[in-house]
Amino acid sequence: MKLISFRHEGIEKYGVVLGDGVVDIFARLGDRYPTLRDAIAGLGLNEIDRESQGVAADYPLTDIEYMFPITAPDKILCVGRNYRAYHEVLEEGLLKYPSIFPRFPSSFAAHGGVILKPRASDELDFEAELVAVIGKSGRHIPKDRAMDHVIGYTIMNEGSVRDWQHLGAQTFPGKNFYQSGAIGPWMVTIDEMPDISKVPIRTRVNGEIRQDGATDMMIFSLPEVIAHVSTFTWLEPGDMISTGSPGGSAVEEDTPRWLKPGDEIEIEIPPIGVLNNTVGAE
Amino acid sequence: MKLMCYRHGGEAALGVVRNEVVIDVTDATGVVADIGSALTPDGLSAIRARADGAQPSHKMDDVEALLPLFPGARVFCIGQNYVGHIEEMGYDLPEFPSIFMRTHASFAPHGADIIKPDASEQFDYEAELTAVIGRPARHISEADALNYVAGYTIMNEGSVRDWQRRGPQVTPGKNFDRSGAIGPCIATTEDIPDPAALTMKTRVNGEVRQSTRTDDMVFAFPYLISYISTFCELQPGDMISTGSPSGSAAGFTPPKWLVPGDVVEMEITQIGLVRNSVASE
Repeated sequence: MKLISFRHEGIEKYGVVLGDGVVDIFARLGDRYPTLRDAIAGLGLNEIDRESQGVAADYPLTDIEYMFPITAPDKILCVGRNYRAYHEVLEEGLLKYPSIFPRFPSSFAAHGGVILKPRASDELDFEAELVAVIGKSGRHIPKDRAMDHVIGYTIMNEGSVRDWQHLGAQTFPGKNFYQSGAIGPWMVTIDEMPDISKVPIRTRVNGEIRQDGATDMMIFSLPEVIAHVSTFTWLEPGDMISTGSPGGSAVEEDTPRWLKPGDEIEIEIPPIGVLNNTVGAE
Repeated sequence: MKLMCYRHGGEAALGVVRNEVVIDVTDATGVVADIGSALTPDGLSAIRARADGAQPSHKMDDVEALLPLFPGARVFCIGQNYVGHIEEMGYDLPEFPSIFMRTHASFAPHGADIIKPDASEQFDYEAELTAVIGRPARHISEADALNYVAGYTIMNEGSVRDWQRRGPQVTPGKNFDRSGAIGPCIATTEDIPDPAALTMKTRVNGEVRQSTRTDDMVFAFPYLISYISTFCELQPGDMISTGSPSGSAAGFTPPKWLVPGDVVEMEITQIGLVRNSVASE
């Protein structure tokens, strides 16, 4: 199932993507589950599945405004430097523990929205990442149970402002510029992605392939990251964990081709789909 | 004026604290859970008018403090920001602030237990002066920055030292569940015209461990608000905590880590006192 949150005629809804359209599940279950996050937390996935069987799409995708798959996640945690090729390029060495930092929802645009090159920097970069969405709360989750807590996957452009990433001792500011990244267009449930050990990840900027990797180069696996993170914090339904980006970002180039207003970015992770954004100026 | 989020008789409420009594002003703004809108200039005016001449509702000892955070409020923390502390650790003074964030779940309210995690023996305390934002703020100049602050509160920016160094980012060691505390009150700015003129103390089981004036910061509020507002828009209710002075457990030889049963008190003049006991996980 492809689960999506969206606005239709100004109203926040959620549903299931069916071909080029969307089945409005909010209209059917919204009184019990006002948001997709509520549905996930309330173990409503089976009901969503039932409601979307044997029905036609209510609206074409062209009629909706995309929102983050989970509109207001409690936490978005990212893993940095988690792909082999990437660290080899940067020559920073392998980490003993995953590098974990948070991003605010306000640092992202939705699918189809505008990513902003900030006034404060010319070094806006892209990072294509596979994101796990948590479906079941947990703390102290062992590696071998970690996948029980994942309900699906979405795509992130973990857009980064490189100079600000290194101004202070923590990367946080450079990773949290307003609308510097993107999440979407929807999430795919885990039954459709049972094995994420070799998922292709590709970024095109203005049609040119700039990142072309796969999750088999990941250093800390998703179960390892979930076990690590859940040692210090509760994971809650709707939380997102982004797993790092393969090589190819602008920062790795001899003369970095930073993103500039007008650029079109497409990030493709099958079978999820394509996350598409345009760069605008702040 | 001192504002407090609290629970009494099962209901969450917003109060004004005066001389150890609480005046329930929940109906002043009509938005109980949203300390963010309460902190806007309009919200504060409504609360002042409501509290004026009102009778006390409860004794402060009879209410349960809640975190003065509304859902979605962000907590920005600054690391290594006291000159004395940086010199004690043998570091160079930073050119730019070290900024990280904490989740709501990483804090306990005043009076509740803070939790020493099973995963570590290196549980530490950090007293910090924390500003609470009162107006949306983006691209704000240093000269104008303090106009965006609604008030100040106290944070125990409790840290798990070994986990702080697991990976290059401090997020894990700074976000253990209920490892820190905030509260109990937000003292509004008319009572604190100069946040650099306060005195801050930490006592553990009555022993003074940290003691400083709040004028020893590398980066003060005007710079921090201006800096953070460069990359995101600060919202009413967001918090900016300014780092801790010398005297945390890690600074002693051997370190005086917190253990279950310890009582941690942090006091800042004009604001109040946040007290928590340490419990095991």
